Amino acid sequence: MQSRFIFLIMIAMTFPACSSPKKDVPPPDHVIVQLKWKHQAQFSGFYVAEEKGYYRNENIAVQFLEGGSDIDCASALISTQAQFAVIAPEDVLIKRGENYPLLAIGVIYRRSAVVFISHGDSGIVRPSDFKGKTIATLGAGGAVRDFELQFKAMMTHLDIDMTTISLVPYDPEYKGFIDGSVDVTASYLTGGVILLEKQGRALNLIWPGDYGVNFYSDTIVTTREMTEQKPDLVFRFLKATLKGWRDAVGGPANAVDITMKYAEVKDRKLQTAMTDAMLPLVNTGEDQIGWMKGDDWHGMVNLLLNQNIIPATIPDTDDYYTMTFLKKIYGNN
Amino acid sequence: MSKLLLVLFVISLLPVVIMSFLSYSQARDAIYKRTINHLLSINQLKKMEIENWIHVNCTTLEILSGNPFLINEFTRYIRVKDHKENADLEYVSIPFVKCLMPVVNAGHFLEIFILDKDTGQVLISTDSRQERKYLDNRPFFLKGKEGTFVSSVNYSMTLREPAMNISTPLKDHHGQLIAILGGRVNLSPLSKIMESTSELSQSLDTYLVNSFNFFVTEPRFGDHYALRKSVHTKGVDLAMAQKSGVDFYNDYRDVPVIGAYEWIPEREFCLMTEIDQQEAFEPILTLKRNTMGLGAVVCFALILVSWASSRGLKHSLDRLIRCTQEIGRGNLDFKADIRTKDEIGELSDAFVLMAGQLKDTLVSKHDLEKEVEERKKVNFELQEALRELGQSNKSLEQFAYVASHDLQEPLRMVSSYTQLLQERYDSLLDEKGKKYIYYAVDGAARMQKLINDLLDFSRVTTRGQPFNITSSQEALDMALLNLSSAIIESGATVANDPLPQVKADKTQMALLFQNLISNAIKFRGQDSPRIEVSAEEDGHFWRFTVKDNGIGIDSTYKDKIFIIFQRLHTRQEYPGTGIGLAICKRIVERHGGNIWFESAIGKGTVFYFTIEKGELIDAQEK
Repeated sequence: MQSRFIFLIMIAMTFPACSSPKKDVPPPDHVIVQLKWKHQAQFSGFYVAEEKGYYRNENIAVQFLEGGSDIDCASALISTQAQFAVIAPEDVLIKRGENYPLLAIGVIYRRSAVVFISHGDSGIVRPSDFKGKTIATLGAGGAVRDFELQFKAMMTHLDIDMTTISLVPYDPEYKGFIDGSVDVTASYLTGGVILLEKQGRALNLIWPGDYGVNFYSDTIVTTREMTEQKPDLVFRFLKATLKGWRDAVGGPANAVDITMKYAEVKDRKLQTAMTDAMLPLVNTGEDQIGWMKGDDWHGMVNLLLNQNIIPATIPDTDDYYTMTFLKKIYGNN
Repeated sequence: MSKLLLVLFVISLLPVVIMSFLSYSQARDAIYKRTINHLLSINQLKKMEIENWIHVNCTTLEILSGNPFLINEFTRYIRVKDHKENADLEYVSIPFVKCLMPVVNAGHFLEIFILDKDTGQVLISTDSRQERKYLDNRPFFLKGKEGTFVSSVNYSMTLREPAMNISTPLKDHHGQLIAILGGRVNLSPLSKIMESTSELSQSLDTYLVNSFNFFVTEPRFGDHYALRKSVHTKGVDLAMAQKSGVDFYNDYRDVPVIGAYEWIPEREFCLMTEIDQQEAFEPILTLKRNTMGLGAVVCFALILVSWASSRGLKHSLDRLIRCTQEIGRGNLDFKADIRTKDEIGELSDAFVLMAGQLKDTLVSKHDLEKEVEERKKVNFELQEALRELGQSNKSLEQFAYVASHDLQEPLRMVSSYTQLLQERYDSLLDEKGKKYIYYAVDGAARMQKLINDLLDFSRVTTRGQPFNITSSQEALDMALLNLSSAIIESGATVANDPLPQVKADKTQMALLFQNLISNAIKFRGQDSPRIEVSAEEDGHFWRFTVKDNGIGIDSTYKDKIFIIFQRLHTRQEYPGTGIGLAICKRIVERHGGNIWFESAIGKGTVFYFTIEKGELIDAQEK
């Protein structure tokens, strides 16, 4: 009885001590994230991090901005409209070539989701089969620039003569591919491939990664200024984001549930298929989620240089990406 | 009652509870150990099987790489490749595929391929779709140049499934590297290895997790999890920290499991073997249920037994308490009526016995008290009677003395004057007058005699002397002296033994002898009286004997002869008033003794009397 009394007193004494640290919790850091495209499963890791309170735990109040074909994510960063953005690596390099101080702090899709598809019975199974064929891969918009880019890089790398190849603009609805006027079309493993396979079409997949073109897809980018002035915020943001992605990969069904709150297209099956398709790109079975490699970046730089997409002046001092924050999160592995 | 019940219950229950707890905890520990050992041994077994499986795959590939036909054909292929067109190359590659296909058909590999040692391009593959790809950034290309290399399991973008590659250098006869021989491993045996023990249990689950927390093989309760789903359980985290052991945690389904985890550094895998706690603990739960059920039954039985026995005990005790109360109130006939054969029964019997004995004791006490009362009463009455008797005797003696003494004077007057009448007027009287005067004189004379005798009789007590040590011989001598004339006249002989000292009134002692000897002489028969006097000891007394040879006495008169003035004969036969023996009796009684006789008609008489011993009285007085 007495010991219980003492225990209660101890509880009572510690209670004010517990409640008092309400002390100076600083107001949360407001952060705006510019996404690459419309809200969809492609960004589910961000949504999971927000919904599970990982940003809040890091004292960050986050706001997501939708992307689109008319939105230049890099500009959003440079104009400080957003503090972080999801940007394709080639855009990072191109902007860097233009001396914009962008810095990749992590990668979401470590393998490119870009793939070239032909009909299963077409006999087109590798790039050397593209000769004399019509290929839908051209595109000017920021979001689909990587189709043309990777196509050209691949053909250059394989030293295939493109004079006999008819290049036509990429059509997100695949009308030409479906009616047979287009032999090969670029697509995303996480998008068009799912739609087309859903229609029961047998496809041959020609992945640039198998032909010397190893591109990352979505990278998490901020400005050099941010990393220098608010390194702690950058660290906290990346940590919370990767934790969200880890959960999304570990629990896809839950990730779909959360994505459905944000997604513009409220098609659960579509979002689920997209999630399933993207998981292997996030988790390759080789490294931790978000991890980057110098060789991968160098390879991308070389491909862009070969196509004269970026000027030869781009510094090779690796100042377009930083491992600082990833190493702080994961250690040096 | 409830206290007794509780105590009985607790005492009975305590061993049951302790025994149940001990056996349960021991069994639980045994089940824990068995489960844990089982999981650990499965892990060990799996680890060995995985290593063996990888070793077989490596060896298969290495044997293939040393195949002389393959080396010769490939050397030829290189030469053609360096000089000819692709069409020819395909033609040349056909023998390779024929050479490689048996290995694929054997099931170890899904695909065998040869990479260009410089560009990493797939030159030849059993899956023609894979040819011309550049795999120069793959670890199995880079490491495969140096020796046999086993890649981790990773996701193949084009195959869209997990893949694992083994590579080994392909060298010519001079030992020069000419290509890298690679094989995409068929992972289904690995899954089978993992699944093989799962049939034995409802939830036993064995799977591999890579160093990035992704499933490598399909877990039991997952579909398409391999390299698509990550797992962040406590067990996996511990294995990631390069530890091995067993722990309790929630698995990838968030179900509580017991998991054995092991980090395999060579392959960078976590080997996980888990079983649902519910299944693992089912025997424990069953045991717990059984133990608790048994405990409840025992408990219930104990309550019943305790209740019954305490009820019986209470009934018996109540009876005993009632019994003691009744006995306390004096109801000694109350029966406890307990017929049990236990200690209570014995106690009850003891109570009954005690009550019985108490009753006897009280009855005897009551009787004794009653008797004492009666005796007291009798004693009191006796004392009263004695006192009255004493007083009466005293009054009587006084009366006798006074009467005899005071009567003498008028009697003497009557006697004297009648004698004067007889002497002076004898001549004046006729015969009848003379006769009448004679009767009056004679009567007066007899009356005088009677009064004198009565006076003597009363004087025994009223004029008695105090008792002194007296020689009975001297007393006898005095008596004989007084009777000397009668003795001589009758010619009697008196003999005596030496007579003892007694404590007595000497005069009365002499009178006693005198009366007895005088009677012996008086009531003599035809022969001369022969009288013998003797004495002998009889306890505290001397018993004296006076024996004669007289006429004897009819024993029917034995009481009558000691009564005053009682006569057995007429005055004419034997003169006397009949006072002699009455005086004797009174003297003996005064001395505390007794007097009696033995006689028969004509046979003489023996008088006995007892007198206290003078010496003894002396000694007592001293």
